[in-house]
Amino acid sequence: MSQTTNPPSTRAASTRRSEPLDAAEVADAALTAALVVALLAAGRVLASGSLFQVVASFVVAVLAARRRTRAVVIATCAAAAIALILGGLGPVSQAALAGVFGWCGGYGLKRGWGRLRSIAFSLLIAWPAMAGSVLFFYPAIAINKKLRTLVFDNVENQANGFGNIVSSIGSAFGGLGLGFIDDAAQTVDGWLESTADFLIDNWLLLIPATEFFYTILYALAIRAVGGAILRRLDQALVEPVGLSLQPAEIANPLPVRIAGAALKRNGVTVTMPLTLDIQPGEHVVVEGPNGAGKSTLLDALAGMDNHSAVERTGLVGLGSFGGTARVGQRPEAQVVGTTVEEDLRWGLDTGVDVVATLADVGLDLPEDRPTSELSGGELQRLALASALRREPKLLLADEVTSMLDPAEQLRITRRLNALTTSAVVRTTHRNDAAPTDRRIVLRSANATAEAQPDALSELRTIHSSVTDSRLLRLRNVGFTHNPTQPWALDVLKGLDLSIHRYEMIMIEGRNGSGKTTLARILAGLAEQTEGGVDEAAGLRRALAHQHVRLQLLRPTVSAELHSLAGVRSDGSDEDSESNRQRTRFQNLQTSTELFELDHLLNRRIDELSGGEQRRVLLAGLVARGVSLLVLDEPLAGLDAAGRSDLANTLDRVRLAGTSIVVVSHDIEWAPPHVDQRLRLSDGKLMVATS
Amino acid sequence: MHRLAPETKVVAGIVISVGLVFNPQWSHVIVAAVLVVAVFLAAKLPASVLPRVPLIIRFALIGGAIGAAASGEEPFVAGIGVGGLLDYARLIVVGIVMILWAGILSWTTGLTAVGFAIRRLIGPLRRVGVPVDEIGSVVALAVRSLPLVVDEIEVVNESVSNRPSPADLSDKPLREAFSYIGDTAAAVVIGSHRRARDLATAMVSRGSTTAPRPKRSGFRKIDIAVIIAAFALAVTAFWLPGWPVTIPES
Repeated sequence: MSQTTNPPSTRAASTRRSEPLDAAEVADAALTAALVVALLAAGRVLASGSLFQVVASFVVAVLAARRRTRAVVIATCAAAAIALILGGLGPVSQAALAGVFGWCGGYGLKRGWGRLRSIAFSLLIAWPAMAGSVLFFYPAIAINKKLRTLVFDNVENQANGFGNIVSSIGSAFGGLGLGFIDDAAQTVDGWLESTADFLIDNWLLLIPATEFFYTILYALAIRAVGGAILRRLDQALVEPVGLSLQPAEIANPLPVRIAGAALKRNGVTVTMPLTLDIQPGEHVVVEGPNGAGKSTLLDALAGMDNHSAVERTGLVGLGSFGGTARVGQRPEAQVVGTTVEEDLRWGLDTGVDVVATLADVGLDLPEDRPTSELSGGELQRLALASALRREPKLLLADEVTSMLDPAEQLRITRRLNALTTSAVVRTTHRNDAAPTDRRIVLRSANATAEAQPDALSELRTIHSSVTDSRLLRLRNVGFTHNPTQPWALDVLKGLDLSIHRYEMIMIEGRNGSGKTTLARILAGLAEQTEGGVDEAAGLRRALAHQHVRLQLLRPTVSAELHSLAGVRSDGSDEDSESNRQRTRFQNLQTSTELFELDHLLNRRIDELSGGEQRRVLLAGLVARGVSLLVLDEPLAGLDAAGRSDLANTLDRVRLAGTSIVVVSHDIEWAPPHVDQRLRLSDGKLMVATS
Repeated sequence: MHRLAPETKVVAGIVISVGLVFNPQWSHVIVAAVLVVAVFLAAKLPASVLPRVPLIIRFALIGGAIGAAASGEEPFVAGIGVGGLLDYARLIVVGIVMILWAGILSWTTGLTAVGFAIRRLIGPLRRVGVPVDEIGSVVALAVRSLPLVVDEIEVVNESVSNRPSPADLSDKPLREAFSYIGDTAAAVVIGSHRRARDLATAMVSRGSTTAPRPKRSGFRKIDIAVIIAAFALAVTAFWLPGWPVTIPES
């Protein structure tokens, strides 16, 4: 009876509470657990460990504010289990506490509670947990008299011991006629002993009392910082709309018709004057520049978004055997298993012949190989193998050969062309369509004309403190990973290299050739294990990572540039007393002008394209006076337009008088104006022949 | 040691650690310490895997030893009370043994194997209604993402530490520093949520959010023997004479 009177919304909520986690929740919970473990591990090594634990609770709070409590509980359990194995019992209690505090704080953020209410809630839930904490040690001490005696004996011994030392020093002075020192020493001795007694007598009250204040501090910190993180996250990420499982016993994804007048991508509409019919067995190649909507089209066909634009009679059966299989861009984002074997079995009920499935795409890997050790090309082929294993009626492949070398590429393209029972829709930016394929060319709807490098001729001056012409010299440099561990690995040996002012050097190497290590040594972030590195006096070096977004910390372009360059954002540095501040201010102005960022200054970082984000980072580093800039894999995932944009940005860096080292796996393309092309292979550098 | 199933090491390590916490008397402490050193040697781990103790902690340890030695508690050896020092040594050894157990486990087991071990260990909880598959999937994906997340934290950390100090750039240094912590945490959180979205998309593309159940482990007789021995050690230690208490007082 009471059930029928319930309003439908609460009923839905209560059934949802016990429902298993959906894909987005599982993924968020997993990444939260990984972050918590990583933060606690970092906190164990560094002195500021407790700060990391506080940050871990922020991370959980973000999860709690966005997802169900079920996700938080499961994430906390997972984090605690991993922490137990990697660090023992101590980290378990830390993970559990981060979970409890984070959940309380996040719940308040979700409900939009005020300060008082958030504190009250935390005191109600988290305080008892914390006081009954250090979830393991407190009960261990409370129930367990032996450990308690040992700990208390030690506290008492310490007090007595130091008391004895102080009082014997005191009596020595007393013997010299300095009675007042003796008196003071006796007081200290007495004070130490009585404090120890007080602690031991009142431990049952003192621990909860301290935790009471901790709880309030945590609640306030999570409300302030966690709330700020949530707002940034909402601006940075658009929730995907149709991200739910669509498995089907009998899938019939074809025929399908898509009338893509206006498809939406991340909330932005992409106009596509196109109607596309796909029949069983048909092969379609979609071409076009980045941003033209190729991936959006494929995701719509996969039933993941834009449902209203897709007409089909059967079920799409995404991921089902004999249904639709999809392999997206960016290889590391396609693989879900921890090992090769687990990844191939994921989502397949039937047994998988690992060797044969891998051989189908030209791979030969042991089945227990961790996927985190695979190169980009291997990941791409692994994801494709798992798609092919499903014998799909419709295969959607988005740039799946971008990380392969030419021979492998040809092999995979042939394999896809030979599929007769599957319809294949694939995107490419290489001209590799077979004669029988249907070709569709999408044009970029909002192409913007970039200023050409030729238009920039005049050399700007950024004040740099380096006077030598040779910036850096590597002498016989070698590097060994984990030199003290049983699994030590030689990565680099006997490298000699000099980098001069105004030079641009490109270093190519295949995945796993040690080029990232070399990049870090060149940027001064890692130290060689052999040989020497000579640095010009006053040299500033910096590394721009592949994922530029991680290096940009402040919310807006202007704030980010000021922070990178070390300039106050209120403009007071222009007339500053200090020469240094005035120079910094001028450098920032020159750099902003040189990189043409004036019109972007008030934009939020997350609204910018990848190319614009890179321009902001490099402009800021140049303004800071970096004279040697190392770029790690800047070419990954760039099409022709992206490359010319990168070349343009690099030219601006050179105009500012900064030397550049580009490290890349791509051996087919180098930016214009490169002075030297080197190849890294087997840990050694040689001049590239191409 | 390398051949033991990871779950054996986990269970044995936990049993011995918990036993030690509940029964930290010399008899048990010595047996556990000898055992952990023997296992360390048997695993042929080089001494270089041992973590370096930070200087500040070394000083703290030495300071503690001085304080404990000066307390002059019973028993007396050559007229000097060493009881305080002995109590102190016992507490420190308990701590070291527990850290070593966890260390040996992670030095002899790959991260991937750790994930599988957790999922096999929680398997039986399925019967009492614990959502084992969900926890298992989250553990598997967390283990898969951990190296990537660690890299991301490093990148953000480098980016922060290479910048001019935010405190120089504002008249309200404390406020600036706080907003900096928030910005840094936000960069890490946003990065990991991007990865989460990729992961969710990849799982939907595979048609399942549940990790396949791990294969049976190579559980052998020796594993069972080790687990039984660990339990036996923890339990019998309770009945062993409480050696430091019964020491004859001179």
